[in-house]
Amino acid sequence: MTDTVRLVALSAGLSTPSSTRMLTDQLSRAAATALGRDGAEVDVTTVELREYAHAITDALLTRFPDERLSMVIESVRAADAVIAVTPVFNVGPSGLFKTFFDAVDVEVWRNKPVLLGATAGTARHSLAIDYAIRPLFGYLKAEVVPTVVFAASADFGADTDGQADEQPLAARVRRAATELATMLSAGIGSSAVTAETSESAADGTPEEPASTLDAEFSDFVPMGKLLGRD
Amino acid sequence: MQFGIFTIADITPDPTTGRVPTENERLRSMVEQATLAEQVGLDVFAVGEHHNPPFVTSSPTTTLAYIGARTTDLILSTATTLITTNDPVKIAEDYAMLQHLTGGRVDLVMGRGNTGPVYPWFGQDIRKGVEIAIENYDLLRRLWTEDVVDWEGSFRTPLQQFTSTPRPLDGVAPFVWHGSIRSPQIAEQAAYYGDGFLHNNIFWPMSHTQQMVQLYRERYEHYGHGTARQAYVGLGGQAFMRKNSQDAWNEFRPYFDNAPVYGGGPSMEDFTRATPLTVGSPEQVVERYLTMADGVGDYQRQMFLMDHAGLPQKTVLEQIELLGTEVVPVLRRELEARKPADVPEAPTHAARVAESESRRGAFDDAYKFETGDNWTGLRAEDAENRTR
Repeated sequence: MTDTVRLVALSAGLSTPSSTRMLTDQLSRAAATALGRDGAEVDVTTVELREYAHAITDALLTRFPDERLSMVIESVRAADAVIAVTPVFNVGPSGLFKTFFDAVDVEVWRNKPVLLGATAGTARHSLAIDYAIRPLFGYLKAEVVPTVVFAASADFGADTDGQADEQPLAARVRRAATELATMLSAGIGSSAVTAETSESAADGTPEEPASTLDAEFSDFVPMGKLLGRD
Repeated sequence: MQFGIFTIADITPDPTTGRVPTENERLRSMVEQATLAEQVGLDVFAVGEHHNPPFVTSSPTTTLAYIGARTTDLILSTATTLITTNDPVKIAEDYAMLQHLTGGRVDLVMGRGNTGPVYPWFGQDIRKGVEIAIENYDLLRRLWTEDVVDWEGSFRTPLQQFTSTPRPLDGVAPFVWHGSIRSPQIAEQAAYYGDGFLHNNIFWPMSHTQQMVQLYRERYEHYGHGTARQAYVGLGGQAFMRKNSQDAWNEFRPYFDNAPVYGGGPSMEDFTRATPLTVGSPEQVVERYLTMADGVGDYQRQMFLMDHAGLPQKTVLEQIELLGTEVVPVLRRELEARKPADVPEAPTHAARVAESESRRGAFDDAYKFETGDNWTGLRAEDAENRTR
C-alpha cells in the first residue's frame, strides 16, 4: 500500500439528488475515517456513473472506452479499494451499474477490495445485494468486504445508535468501513498483485517484458515454448 | 508502399432505400470493385472469409481466381483466411494453386474468424482457438517450404510422406500477414516467423493499434529478423469522400447511423475522432492517413474498407475512384518520401523470389518425381519397387 490510500467510489443512482449517492458518500467518509485512524492519507474520487451513461453504452458497442471513461477505468485500476453502490431495481443492480462492469475488463477487478452498498425504497429488497449483486464480484474475483451495506429510505431517518432499527445504518456503515480498513492494512489487494505476478512468471510469460506497453499486451507465451522448441 | 481495398462481403440493406442486394449481385459487385481498383492504380484487393449470413464469401480462392483472371497486376489477398477452421493442408494447396494461376499475385492474412459457432460448425473447439491457429500455421509453413512432410499434431490427422501440390510458384511461398485486433499472441506469432502483421484498426483508437504494432515490432527484432522498424506492418482504414466535406457528411450519415457495426453507438462525430474512419473531402482523407505512420512507424500496406453499410454499388465505385485517383497518389508520394532507406518495401512475389535466389541460387522448376504428388499416390507395390 502506498502512503496515500486511493479510494474510488462508484455511485450508480439515476436521480439527482439520489439516496444512492448519499450512501456512497456516507461509506466514503466512514472509510476515510477508519483508514485515517491507521494514520493513512486517504484520497477519495467519487464517480457518478450516470454522467458516463452514454459513454458506457458506446463502449459496449465499440469495445473501447472513450477518453473520459478511460480515465474512470484507469482510476479504478489504480485504486487501493473501490466503494460500489447501486440502487436495487427489479431484484438486481441498476442497469447502469451492471453495464459499467460489462464495459470494463474483468482483470481490473481481480483481488480488488470492494465495499458494496445498495439502496431501495423499502427493506423488502435488502437481500438483493447478497443474492444478485455480490455474485458478480465473486465472478470477478474481487475481495468483497464481508459486511455489505443496504439502505432503505427509512434507514436515513434512523441513523443514530439505538433508534428504530436494531442495526442502524450508521453502525453498519462503520462496521463495513472498519472491515475495509482492516483488509487494506492486512495487505489484501496489494499483496495479491505480487502473487499474481510471480504466478505468471512461473508459467513462462515473456522473458523480456515489453517495457512501455500496457499490461494486456504482455499476455502471450513465447512461440518457441508454445511450439515445444525451447 | 501498397494501397488497396478489402471487403467483408456483407449483405446490408441500403438504409436510404431499403434495397437489399442479392447474393449474386453482391458477388459480382465485388469483382467489379476489384477490377476498378486495378484500373485506378490500387495495388491490392482482399476478400473476407465467412461461413455465416449475412456474408457471401465462403470461398475466397474461387473469388480471387476469378478476379485474378480479369486483372494483370492486382495483388490478391484475404481479410482474413481462417487458419483455425480450415484444414492447413487445403490452405497450402488452394493458395499455391492461386499463386501459379495468377503469376504470384497472392498473399494471405491469417485470422481466427468473426463468430463463435464457426468453430463447432467445422468440428473445432473455440476454447482452443489460439492453440489451433498456432499449430495449423506451423504446419502450413512446413507444407509450403518442405517437399515431403511427416507431421503429427493435436488438431488434424497425422501426415506421413505428404507432399502438398502444386509446390509454391518459383519455390517461394505466398507472403503471410497475421491479422489480429486484440491478441498479443498473434503479434508474437507473426514476429516469430518474420511474417507481416496487419492490424485492421478500423474500429479502434490509435492508442490501441500503436501498442499492438509496437509489441509485434519489438518481438520481430527479438527473433532476429531485423530491427523493429524493419518489420512488415499493415493497417486497415475507412473513408467516405465527396469534393465538399459537408456533402460527404450528409450523404454518409444515414449509412453510419444504421450500419450493423455502428448503429446505436457513438455519433459519427465521436467515431470519426476516435477511429480511422474519415468522412470528408479527399484532401481531408489524405491529411488523416498521413498521420498513421506517426503512430505505428513507417509501414508497408494500407487497406481501405469501402463497400460496407449498405452503400449502393454506384457510390462504392465512385469512392474507389476517388481513393485511387485523389488520395492514394498523394499518400504514396508522401509516405514513401518519409520512409528511411532501411525500412523494407511492401512484399511482392518478384522481390521475394529475388531474395530467395540471392540466398539459395536460382530455382529449378523442373518437375521432381521424388517430391511430386506421385509419391503419395503410389500403389503399395510401386512403393516397394521404389525402395529397391
